[in-house]
Amino acid sequence: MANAPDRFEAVVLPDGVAKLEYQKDKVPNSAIIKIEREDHTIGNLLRMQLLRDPKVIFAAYRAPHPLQHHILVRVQTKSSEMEPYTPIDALANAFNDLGTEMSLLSERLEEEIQKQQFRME
Amino acid sequence: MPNARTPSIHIQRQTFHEMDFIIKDTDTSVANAIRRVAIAEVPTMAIDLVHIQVNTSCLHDEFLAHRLGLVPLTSHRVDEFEYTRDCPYCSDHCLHCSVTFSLDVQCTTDEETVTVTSQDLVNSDATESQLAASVQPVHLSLEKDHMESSSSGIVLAKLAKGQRIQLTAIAKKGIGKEHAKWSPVCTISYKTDPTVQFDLTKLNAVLSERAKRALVASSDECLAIDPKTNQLVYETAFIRGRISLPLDCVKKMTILVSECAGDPCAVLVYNNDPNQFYFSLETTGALSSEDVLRHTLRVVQRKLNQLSAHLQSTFQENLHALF
Repeated sequence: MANAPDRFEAVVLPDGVAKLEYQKDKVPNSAIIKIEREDHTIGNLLRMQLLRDPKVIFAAYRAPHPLQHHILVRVQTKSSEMEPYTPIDALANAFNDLGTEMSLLSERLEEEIQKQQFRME
Repeated sequence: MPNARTPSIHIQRQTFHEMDFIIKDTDTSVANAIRRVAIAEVPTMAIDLVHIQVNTSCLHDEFLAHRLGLVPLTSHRVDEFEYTRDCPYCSDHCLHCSVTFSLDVQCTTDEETVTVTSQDLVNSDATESQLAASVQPVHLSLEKDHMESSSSGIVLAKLAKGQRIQLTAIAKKGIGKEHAKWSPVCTISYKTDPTVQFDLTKLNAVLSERAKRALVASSDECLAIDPKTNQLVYETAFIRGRISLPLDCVKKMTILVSECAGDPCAVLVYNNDPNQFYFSLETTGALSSEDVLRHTLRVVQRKLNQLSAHLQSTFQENLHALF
């Protein structure tokens, strides 16, 4: 028991650790973002959403080790002088799109629950 | 919002403990995120710390503590509790972040063993706070048990004459990722439409009576003939289970359709990119089924909003230096 990691280790972001960390990639317009205390839930959600973006050339994620509670997301985008589009922009768009999708689902769930109660009465 | 989707949700069947629903027009990753979050990241209350004063039963202390942890506690007001580790009101635990239960059962008779159940857990904070009183053990897991009052709670231990259990148990807020006892669901699963299916209206129009019967024979009980209309229909088990059609059945279909001078390719329906997800969810009783789903969507949304905010604050200033 003495050297077992704490149970909350996988859940709580330790003090002084950044939620997001940028790692430079050799390829232009490409970035590896380390997301702390997230797993396949967000990893796969984010990857699939990034791949729907026509300006994203490459998007993938990996969870390096079960005892390391972070994921690495690599994104590469099409960017030009005229229309700069960084991987950070792509990520921001993906988060926003997924956020609106989830809030839409929540709203529709509430409507559906209301309807369901109406049906039962 | 350049690439947002507009998914919809439809509830097919709903009780307190169970819910069947369909999510349409979205991706497997979203369905899977909903499933994963419902299992591991929706907070509930569960017994986490047990002080054992007397235990002369045949179960050892750890065994008993583990069993107590697995008893579901009603958690409809879990949002009003703090996590014990970041409770601003106390350094150990208090009414804002925990609920204390006590249990004292003794067996004095020779005739019968005494059964210690979840009914013997007494909420000791109930008089002090309404919030604490809302947390009670779930004694019965199924609706039909509520009707038959014979069921009397979740069995924790059995005591013979002279044996006694006396303890206090402290329930805390947590999530399933930390320990499965905090998971609000027994099962949550989703399935999609089968990858390969037949267009039955087209198939019925093409095939002769004899060919239909031959196809049913080799369909491995996925297809049947409706005795009223003499038409091919899917078996209920196939519709419910939504397994794929067997390869032999598809092969047989191509032969039969070609014999009847039809085009086998027109009859096949491919579903490479599923966009309908048939969910079924069953709760432990800690939260109602609709609450589980409500909380799940909220947790995913909160995660995404947090990440979005972190992204802005981390990269806003030095964005142009990076690329």
